[in-house]
Amino acid sequence: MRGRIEVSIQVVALIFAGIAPGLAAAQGAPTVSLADQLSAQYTMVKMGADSSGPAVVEPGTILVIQKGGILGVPYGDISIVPTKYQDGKIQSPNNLTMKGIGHAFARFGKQQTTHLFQVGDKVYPSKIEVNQAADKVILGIIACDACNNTNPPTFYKADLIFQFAKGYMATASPPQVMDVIAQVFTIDDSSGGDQQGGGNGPPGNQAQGAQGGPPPNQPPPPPQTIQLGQTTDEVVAVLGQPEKIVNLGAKKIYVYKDLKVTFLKGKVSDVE
Amino acid sequence: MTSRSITTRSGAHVTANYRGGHVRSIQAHNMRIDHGMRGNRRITTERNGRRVVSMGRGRGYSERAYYNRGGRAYYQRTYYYGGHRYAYAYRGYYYHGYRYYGYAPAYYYRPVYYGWAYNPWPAPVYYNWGWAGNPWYGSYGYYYAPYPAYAAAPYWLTDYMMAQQLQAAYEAGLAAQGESVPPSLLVSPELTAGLWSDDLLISNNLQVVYGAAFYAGPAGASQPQVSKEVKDALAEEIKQQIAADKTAAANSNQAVSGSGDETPPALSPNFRYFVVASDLDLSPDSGQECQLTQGDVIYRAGDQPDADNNVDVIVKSSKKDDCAVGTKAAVGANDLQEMYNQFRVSLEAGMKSLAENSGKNGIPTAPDTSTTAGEVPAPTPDSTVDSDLQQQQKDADQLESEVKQGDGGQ
Repeated sequence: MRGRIEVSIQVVALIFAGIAPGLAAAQGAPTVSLADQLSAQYTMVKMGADSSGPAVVEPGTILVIQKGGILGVPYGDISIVPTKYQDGKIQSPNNLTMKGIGHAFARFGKQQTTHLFQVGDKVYPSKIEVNQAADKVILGIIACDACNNTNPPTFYKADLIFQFAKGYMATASPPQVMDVIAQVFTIDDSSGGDQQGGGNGPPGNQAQGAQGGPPPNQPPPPPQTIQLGQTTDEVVAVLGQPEKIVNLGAKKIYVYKDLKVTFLKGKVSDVE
Repeated sequence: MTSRSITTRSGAHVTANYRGGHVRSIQAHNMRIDHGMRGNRRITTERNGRRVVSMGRGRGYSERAYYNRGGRAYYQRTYYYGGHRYAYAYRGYYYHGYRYYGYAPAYYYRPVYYGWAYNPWPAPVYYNWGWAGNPWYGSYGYYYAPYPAYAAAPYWLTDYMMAQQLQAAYEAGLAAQGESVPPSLLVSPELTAGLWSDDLLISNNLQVVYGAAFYAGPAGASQPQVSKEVKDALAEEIKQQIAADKTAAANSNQAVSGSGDETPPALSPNFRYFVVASDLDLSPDSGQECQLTQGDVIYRAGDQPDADNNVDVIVKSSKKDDCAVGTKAAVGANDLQEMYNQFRVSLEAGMKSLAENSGKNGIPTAPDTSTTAGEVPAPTPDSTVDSDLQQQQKDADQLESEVKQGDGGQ
């Protein structure tokens, strides 16, 4: 009789496993690192240079700064003095550090120019580094000058170190780390455009019903205007990130749902 | 349906849609609330790259990007159900300008196992599921009964998957009524163990003696609503999917690339029948609004989505109080794809259960049931999903309260 009862109990367990199929796992299955998961969440900007100087080659996820005081330096500067974020506070580099850097620049006959990013400024992520042993994440940013209506563009850049408590990152799940990053940088959703998932489209861009979730029914946005000669940065600021980018060297085509924008050497040359 | 734009007490601009004097949906910045015709509430929030969907209190999922490979973007959903978290991966892609998610397996079995599951078994298998006396089976015995015997794995898997849906539907019904969900099975071990045997002769005799009660639903039940034809059609789709998985498993080492337009599997000629995976309201052209619930079965009559991305369907099997069999209506292509995704998840669980049951309980011994890497690394459940869902419920309660105050009591 004992054996028969075990059979019945096994059926119980199997049916529960059926409702909870996620319990199944591949043998020796790899996992995705935190760095890769963060990189999937935030599309990095790709920078290049043309005759006018630095330029955005491929835009990244647009982030909106929620806490001011991040120290930026010109795009061409080799050294960046990182800003630290710890316990909910931005810790800008202190005066002593900045004076030291100023003296170093003066030796080469140069003057250090810096810029403190403000709340509401829009930036692109340029790199993500995860140092699990030191419990820190470093997020590099570059100003989205087109989004901020900064003309001429500056492309100020900065590094922000997210410093977590000792041992925190060994147990934290990626969303917990992302939530801390979101205390300083939120993903811009003002354009209603593509801002999630490696630049391949946000869930909100889909048409889902009761089974998968309905789309946000945003009020109609104002008419969008694209002009010849605009940069990729400026177009992305208006239309959001494209669904696809066709890269033909000097010529690039940004494909949107109902629009194709052709750039020649980084400037709009055709729209269809 | 009438719409009103409302500015709430907290200054939020929202659009509320009404039908029959009741709020059916509220759209605010980053949040949407939908009420089904029976009052069930679904909440969708999108913030900071994370999408949270509640399908009732304590049930829902959180979704976010988690992996990029070969130009493809993968998302993970962490489902929260019955106090547990389960994570699955999905690949994002487009079709005709609409965004879709396709289930991405984290592992495959060896091709030989899929071949075994695809082909007929040497002899019919009489399998005791042990559902007798279980509350969900008692409730839905009029609707559904398992096959009396199994000539091949797809038929066994059909029953496995239907049972999952119906048990989940039963528990969701209890949760909606505010009742606690009982343990998954309350089967009498004496009864089930006493009825089980892997000896064909004994099984046949047991079927004769206990058939009505044990193999065909609760005593006194009439012909179940899910006909043999519908079940056979579902079994055929399972067979097709097993064949597709076998091919995918054999090619699992090949690189994937591209994220272009592609046809969702839910619109493939191989998939016409869909088991409804969560509550779905239908508005038939010819009649009154009605609802489908988990475990109902629909047939896709249309081949291509219309301009609104809807596809024509016909209800093939439905529980009492749900849309009548034969009802014709349009369903979102995304809804069908989500049903298909649930089918994949459920089939994967069924294959796992089948592997574990191999050589036991009358099931023939399967060949190699080990697994190998799938399309993506297995996602780890997000520990934040329960708190995300709780916070979402609070935010939705507040928004609904403010909308009621702001709409002049409409």
